[in-house]
Amino acid sequence: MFLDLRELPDHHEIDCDLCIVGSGPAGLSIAREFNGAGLKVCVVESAREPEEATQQLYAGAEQPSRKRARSIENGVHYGVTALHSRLRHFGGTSNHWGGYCAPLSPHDLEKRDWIPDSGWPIGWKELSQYYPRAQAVCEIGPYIYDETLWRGTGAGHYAFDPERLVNLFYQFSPPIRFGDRYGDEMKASRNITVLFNANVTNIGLAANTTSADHLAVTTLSGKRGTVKARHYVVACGGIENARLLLASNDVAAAGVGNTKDLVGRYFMDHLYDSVGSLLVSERPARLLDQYAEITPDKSGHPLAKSRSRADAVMFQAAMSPSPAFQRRHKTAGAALFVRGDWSRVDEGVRAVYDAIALEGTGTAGKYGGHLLDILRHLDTTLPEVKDIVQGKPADHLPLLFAIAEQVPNRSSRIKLATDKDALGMPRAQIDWHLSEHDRKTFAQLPDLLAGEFGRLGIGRVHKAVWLDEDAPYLYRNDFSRILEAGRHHSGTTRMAHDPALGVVDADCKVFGVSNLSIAGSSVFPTIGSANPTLTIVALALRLADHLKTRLGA
Amino acid sequence: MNKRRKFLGLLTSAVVLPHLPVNAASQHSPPSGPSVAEDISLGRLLELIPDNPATRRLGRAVLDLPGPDRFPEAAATRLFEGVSGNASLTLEQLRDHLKILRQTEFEDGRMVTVQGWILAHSEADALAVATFYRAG
Repeated sequence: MFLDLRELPDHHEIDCDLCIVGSGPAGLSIAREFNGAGLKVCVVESAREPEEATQQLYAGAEQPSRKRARSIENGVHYGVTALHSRLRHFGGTSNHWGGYCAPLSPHDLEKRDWIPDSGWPIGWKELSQYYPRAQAVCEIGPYIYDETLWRGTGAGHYAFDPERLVNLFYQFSPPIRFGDRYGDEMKASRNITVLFNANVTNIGLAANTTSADHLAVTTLSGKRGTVKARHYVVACGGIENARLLLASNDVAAAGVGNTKDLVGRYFMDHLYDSVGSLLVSERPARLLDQYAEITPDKSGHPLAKSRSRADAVMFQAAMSPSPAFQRRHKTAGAALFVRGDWSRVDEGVRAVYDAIALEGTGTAGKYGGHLLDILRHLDTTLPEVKDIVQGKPADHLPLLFAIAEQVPNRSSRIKLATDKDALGMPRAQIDWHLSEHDRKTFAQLPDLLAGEFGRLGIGRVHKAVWLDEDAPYLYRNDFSRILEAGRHHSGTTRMAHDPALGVVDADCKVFGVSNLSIAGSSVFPTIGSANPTLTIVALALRLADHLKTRLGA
Repeated sequence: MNKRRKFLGLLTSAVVLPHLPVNAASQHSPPSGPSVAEDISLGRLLELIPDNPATRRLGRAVLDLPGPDRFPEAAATRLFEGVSGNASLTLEQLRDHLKILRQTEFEDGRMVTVQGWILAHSEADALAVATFYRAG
């Protein structure tokens, strides 16, 4: 059922077995698992629909000065994304989710000796068993993320050296807006209550700090309430999870679960930027098609769900440095996309490429031998082709775009600011730190691609200026200024075996607090290069199974 | 003309003595003038590399890279290393030879960045040789 705190008496108290803070992919995935389970569940959410005053509660603190923000040693500017990269209403940030779904790889979870603080306390076998269920929640296809997805699509041309470059695959959720998609189910539930306009301002610990006693909730207009539960799950995002734990400092001065000063630390995000562009020695459509979004239209394809093409699940491939390459070069993970729009390439260049495509048919003569010579022997006539496309190279050359894994960094953190939001809670201050390790992950990518593309005769790579060894100091040492954050806030309540190394244990329970768990990407010890939502849902389902046992569902 | 003759001589040295180290090849006395075969050899190499501003710009950039391995003599030696009697190579044979060389270099990571382009060393060498020769 749905309840609105604004319509309840002041200081109303709700008692339940399980209280979940947040109705995004993590929160609602857990709640749905308890539908009809015989336990009383309360999902606490702010607004039911988007509204500006509630969204403003997510505004971050004023950023550090621009001068300071320009140094990777001193933390970098995170812009306005603290406010706009996440959404504070029913369904949470799924309301502007792009739908990218991909699992983490076994390699992502391993302890990597060259990456400090890497390694998950759970193994691939444990995590991966939840992915098929997560696939269903996200309404995507079967759990298939390999080259078999290319069968029958006309893609899949290049035999990369698996010791260097491998393919990654993504499936696309419609995307599911969790509030819209699962709202009716929640509303009709007899044992689940979604309490709207209830902003959690404090996790009230018992005096001995070893358990949570209640949650303090309030409306924007100041009406207060309390939620008491046998167990609590905080699932309100990678920034807000940390902020709420830190701000709940009335009993434990350092905040909840923060005896080791780890809450808010290890803030990570995906790093987005171009690593170069590509001059292909064949018709670029072939490469672009391979790494484009593909909607399978053959009925036998595993993602072709039913009768019509409209029902099929779209997928896309990207390239990635192999685990062996990462180990050899001591870098983190990355996904490499080829971006370009063949239809926008100007007529002159299209004619050249078309001539090559037609060469084998004997009809290319009309384009003239000169044009053919240019591209037929691209390997030694590269500058000539460059001349042709020069003028608007960025428009004409497919772009090599990377999504890179940020490595764990203790000094990268969410802190409480001195200024407060409308409810009196300290705002989050994002003190995002990147490292030379992160730059190195990017820096290795152009040569990796150039080697494989050159070896296979696919084309030549033009390295992005900021990655050139001779690049100006500005780019070499302050790459954060030119890259974009993926807005996949992670790591701030990291999972670990040892309380000295993490905020939650392998079951996502907060160390030292017997009835408080965390859900969402804030528990990720490392983030790999895959978009996080599918793993967030998989871990939420795993936590739900654990809580069912614990609470006797 | 002297520069061209000297270079052709060095190129011939590299062709005739392909297995000698660069220094040894460079010390070989240049012949008094280019033969027909030598001109064919160089000419075929240049046939594969168009003469245009972009080629010259990249070639110049390769020649400006630091280190003795960027000397055109050394570049020519490397291009024909392991090939005997290359003056009699056809254009297609020369192209195939350079293709295999490039593939091996890309596979081994022997690449160089020239004005942003990541090229196999032999591509850079070819551009350097062509630019040096065409500069007269």
